[in-house]
Amino acid sequence: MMNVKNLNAGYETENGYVPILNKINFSVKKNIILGIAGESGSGKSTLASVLYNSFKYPGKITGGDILFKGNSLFKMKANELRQIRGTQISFIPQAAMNALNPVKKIRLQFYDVMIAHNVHEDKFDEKISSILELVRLNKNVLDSFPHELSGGMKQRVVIAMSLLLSPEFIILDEPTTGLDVLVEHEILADIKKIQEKLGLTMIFISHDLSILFAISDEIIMMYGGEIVESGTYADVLEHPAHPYTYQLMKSIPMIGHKLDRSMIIKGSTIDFTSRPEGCYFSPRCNFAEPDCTGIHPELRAADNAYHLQRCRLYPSWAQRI
Amino acid sequence: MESQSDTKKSLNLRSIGGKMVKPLKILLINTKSKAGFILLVSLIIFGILGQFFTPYNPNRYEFTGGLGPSYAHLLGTTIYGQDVFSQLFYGAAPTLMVGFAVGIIGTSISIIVGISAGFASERVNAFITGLINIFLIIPGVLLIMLFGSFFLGIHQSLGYLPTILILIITGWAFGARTFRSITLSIAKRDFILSSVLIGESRLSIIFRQIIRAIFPVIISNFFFTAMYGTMGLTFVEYLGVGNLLQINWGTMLYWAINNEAYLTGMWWWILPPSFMISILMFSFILLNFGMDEIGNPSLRRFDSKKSKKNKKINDDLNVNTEN
Amino acid sequence: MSILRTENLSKTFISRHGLVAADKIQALSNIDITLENGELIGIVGASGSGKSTLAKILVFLYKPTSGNIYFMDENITKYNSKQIKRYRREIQMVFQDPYASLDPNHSVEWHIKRPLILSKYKGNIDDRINELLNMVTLNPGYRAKFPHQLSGGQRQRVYLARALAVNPKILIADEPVSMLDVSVRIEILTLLQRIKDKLGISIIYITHDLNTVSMITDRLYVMQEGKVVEEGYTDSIINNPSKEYTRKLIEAAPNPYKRI
Ligand SMILES: Nc1ncnc2c1ncn2[C@@H]1O[C@H](COP(=O)(O)OP(=O)(O)O)[C@@H](O)[C@H]1O
Ligand SMILES: Nc1ncnc2c1ncn2[C@@H]1O[C@H](COP(=O)(O)OP(=O)(O)O)[C@@H](O)[C@H]1O
Ligand code: SF4
Ligand SMILES: [Mg+2]
Ligand SMILES: [Mg+2]
Repeated sequence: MMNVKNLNAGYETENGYVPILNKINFSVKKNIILGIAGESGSGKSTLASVLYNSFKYPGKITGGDILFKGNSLFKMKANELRQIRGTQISFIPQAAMNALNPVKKIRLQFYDVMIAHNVHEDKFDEKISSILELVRLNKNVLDSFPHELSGGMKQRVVIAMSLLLSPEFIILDEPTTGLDVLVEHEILADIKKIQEKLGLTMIFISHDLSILFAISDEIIMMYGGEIVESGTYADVLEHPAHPYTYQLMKSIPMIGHKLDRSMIIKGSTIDFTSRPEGCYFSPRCNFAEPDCTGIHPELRAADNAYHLQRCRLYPSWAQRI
Repeated sequence: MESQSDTKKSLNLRSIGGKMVKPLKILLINTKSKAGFILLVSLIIFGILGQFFTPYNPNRYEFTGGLGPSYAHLLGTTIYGQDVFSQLFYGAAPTLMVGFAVGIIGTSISIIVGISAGFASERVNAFITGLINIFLIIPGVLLIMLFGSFFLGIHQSLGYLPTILILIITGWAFGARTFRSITLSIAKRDFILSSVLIGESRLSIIFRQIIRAIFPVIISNFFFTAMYGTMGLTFVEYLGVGNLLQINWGTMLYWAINNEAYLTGMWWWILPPSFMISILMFSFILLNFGMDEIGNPSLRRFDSKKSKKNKKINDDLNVNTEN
Repeated sequence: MSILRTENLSKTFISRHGLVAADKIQALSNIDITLENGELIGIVGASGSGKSTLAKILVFLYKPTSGNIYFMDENITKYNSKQIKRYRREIQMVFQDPYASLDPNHSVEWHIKRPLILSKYKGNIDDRINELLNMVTLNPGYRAKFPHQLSGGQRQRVYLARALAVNPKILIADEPVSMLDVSVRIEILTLLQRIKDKLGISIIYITHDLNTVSMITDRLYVMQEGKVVEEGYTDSIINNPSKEYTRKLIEAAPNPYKRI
C-alpha cells in the first residue's frame, strides 16, 4: 500500500536546520493496522505529516521518497495530491478534535468536506447517516457546535469526517490521547471494527504502548527520529529485541504490577540539537556497554527476517534480563 | 460561577512567557512592530529637532501669504504668511507629546480599572463594568464638547493640559474593557489558582503574575490609546474646543481646512500635516498590531512552536474542506 | 481520627445562557469520603463524574452547595477567608495539566521560593529549595529554568516541590499523570508514594485510570455522575467489583496483552 524509503526530514529553526527523521524505511501492507510507538518528542507527529505530504515550513524534507500504491507522493502535482487526499488517504492530526471550527455546526463542516470533493448534493444525507452509524454517533450531533460535545464525541466526529470520502488508508496521530479510559476503550474498539469492516489500512500513532499492542497488527518503535524496532505485534510483544522496547514495556503501569523504581526509564528523551554519539538510546539504556557510544548501529534482523531491531548487543542483552 | 467552557476559551498567553523579554526587545521580535517602531523613532527625532532648528519662527506672520513651495519656503506659506515647514517641524513635538501623554495616562487608568474589575469580587466587577460601559456608550464627541467648553475659559494658562485631560477621559474605557476580560480569563487559569492556594495575596498576584502575563497587551493598548490621543487632538482642535493659538498638526489642519485650502489649491498647507498625522497613526497601528500578534498567539504565524502546530492541524483538516 | 472527612457534600453548578435561561448541573451529590492520617487513597471515575469539582471544594476553590467538610474533626465548611487561608497551609492540590499550572513568566526557583516566603520558612530558603528539588528528584540545576524548558514530567515534579514547600498535611493530586506520557507516569507515582512514606503526608490520588490507581492506593472510591458508587480496599474492588460501572473501568484499563 505504502512504501517509505530513506526518509529524512527536520525543521528550520533560528539556530539552523535540525534533523529529526533519520533514514526511515518501512512499508505498510494492505488491510492492517500499523502501530507507531515512541515517547513524546520521538518524531511521530513529524513522520505522520510527512507521510500525508502536508509537512510545511519550517519543516523540511531532505531526502527519501514515499510511494503510495507505487506512485511517489513527493513527485505528484498539487492537484493530483488534492485528488487523492480524503478520497484515498486521510489524516487525523494530533489534537484534531480541538481544531474543529468552533463557530460552525457539525453538519456544515461535513457538507464542506463533500462539497469540496464534488459529491452530489443528493447523496449528502445518505452518506452522512451511514457514516454516523459507523462511528456510533447520534444524528443530534449534526446540529451541535463542537463546544457542546464531549471529548469522545468530538473525536468520533473527526473520525467520521476522515471517513466521509471513503478513503482506503488512514493515518491517525494520537487519536485517543486526552480521553478517559472508558471512552478511549470504546473508540479503539470502534476503530478496529471499522477497519475490519471496510477493509481499511491504518497507521495508528500513540505514545501508549498498551493500546498499540492491543490494536495493531504490526508495530514500529521510534526513538530519536529513527526506527529502533519493527515487526508483528506478537513478535515485538513477546520478544522485544531492542532495550528501548523492553524498558518502555516495563514502564507501563498495569493492574497487578507492583510499583518499583526500576520501572522508570532514566534520563529524558533526546535533544535533537545534540544527539548522543553512537546509539541514540545509550544514555538511557540499562544494557549499554562502553562501545555503544562508538558506532551508530544499523537496523538488522532479530529472530526472524521480518522482525528488525537496532541494538548492537542483540541478542546478548536479552540474555542478561 | 462561570461555565467551564469560558475557562477553555481563555486567551492563551502561555507561550509568550518563558523569557520575560525586555520592553524594547519585545518590540523588535515582530516585523510589524519593528517597522512601526522605526517610524515612530524617526518621528520622535523629527519632533525633538523641531524644537531647536526651525528655519523661521513658526509663530510669526512675516511672509507673503499663500506662497507655493520654493527653496526659501520648502512647503510654502499659509494664507496668514507663516512658514508651513517651520510649523510642521515645530508642531511635531506637541502632537507627539499629547499622543504619548494620553497613551501613558489613559493606559494606566485602563490597567488599574480593568484589572481590579477582573480580579475583584463579583459585585465590584459588576459596578466597574457598568461604569466602563457608560463611558463606552456616551459618544466621545459629546464629552469632548462638554468638557471642552468647560475648560475653554481657563485654557490659556494650562497649555495642553485640558486637551490631554479631555482625551484621557474619553479614551480610557476601551482599554479597561480589554484588560477586564483578559484578567477574568487569566484569573481562572491553573497557575493563578495555584498562587491562591499557596497563599499569595491579590495584590501580589496582580503585580507578580497578571501584569507580566498581559504585558504585550498593555503595550499594544498603549499604542492604541496614543493613536486615539493623536487623532483626538486633531479632532479637538477641529471642533474648535482646543486652544487654536498652539502650534501642532491638529491646529495646522484646523486653520488649513477653515480657510478652505483644499478649494484654493493650497495643497502645501493641508497635505503636509495630514501626511505626518497619517504616518504617526500608521506607526501606532503597526506597533499595536505587532503587539497583538505577540500577545495573542492565534494571530501569530511562526513565532512559537505551539501555534505552528495548531496552524498545521487546521491546515491538515482544511485539506478536506478547502479543495 | 480521620484527617479529612466529608459529609453529604453536594455541588450544583448553575450555568447561565443569556439573562433568564439557566442549566443546573448536579456535579456532586451526597459525597461521603474519609481520608485517614498517612493514607493514600484513590478516587476513580470517568470524566465528568465530578472528581475535579470535589478536589476544588476540598481546597476551597469552590464552595459546596450543601454538606460539611471536617479537617481533624473540626467542621471547616463555614470558615471565613482568614481561616481558609490558614487551612490552605495544611492542604495543597496538584493540577491535571502541568502545562497550565506553572506560570510561564517565572522560573522554577520562583515557584518554590514564593510558598516558602509566604509560609515564613525559618531556615535557609536557598538550601530548602535544593532540598525540595532533591525530594522530587530534580537537581539544583533546574532552579534557573523556565517552564517552557521542561518536559511534562519535569513540570509536574516542580509543581510537587511547590506544593510541598507549603509543608501541607494533605495533598490532593487531581489526575497528575493523565497528560503525561505513559512511560513517565511511574516516576510521578513513585514520587507520590515516597511523599506519603517519607513525609507522612496523606494523599488523595484522583484518576480515571485503574492501572495507576491500583499500583499505589490502599483504598478506593469509585465515582459515577457525581456519586460514590463503590468504595473499599483497592485489591478487593479490582478482584471483585460489585458494580457494572467499576467492571467497565477495569475492563477499559489499557493492557498490551488484551487484544481489542
Ligand atoms: N515546528 C517545529 N519547529 C521546530 N521543531 C519542531 C517543530 N515541531 C516539532 N519539533 C521538534 O521535533 C521533535 C519531534 O516532534 P514530534 O514529531 O511532534 O514528536 P512526537 O509526535 O513523537 O511527540 C521534537 O523535538 C520537537 O521539539
Ligand atoms: N465551573 C463549572 N461550571 C459549570 N459546570 C461545571 C464546572 N465545573 C465542572 N462542571 C460540571 O460538573 C461536572 C463534573 O465535572 P468535573 O468535576 O470536572 O469532573 P471530572 O473531574 O471527574 O472530569 C461536569 O458535568 C462538568 O461539566
Ligand atoms: S546499542 Fe547499546 S546502548 Fe544502544 S540499545 Fe543496544 S545495548 Fe543499549
Ligand atoms: Mg505527536
Ligand atoms: Mg477532572
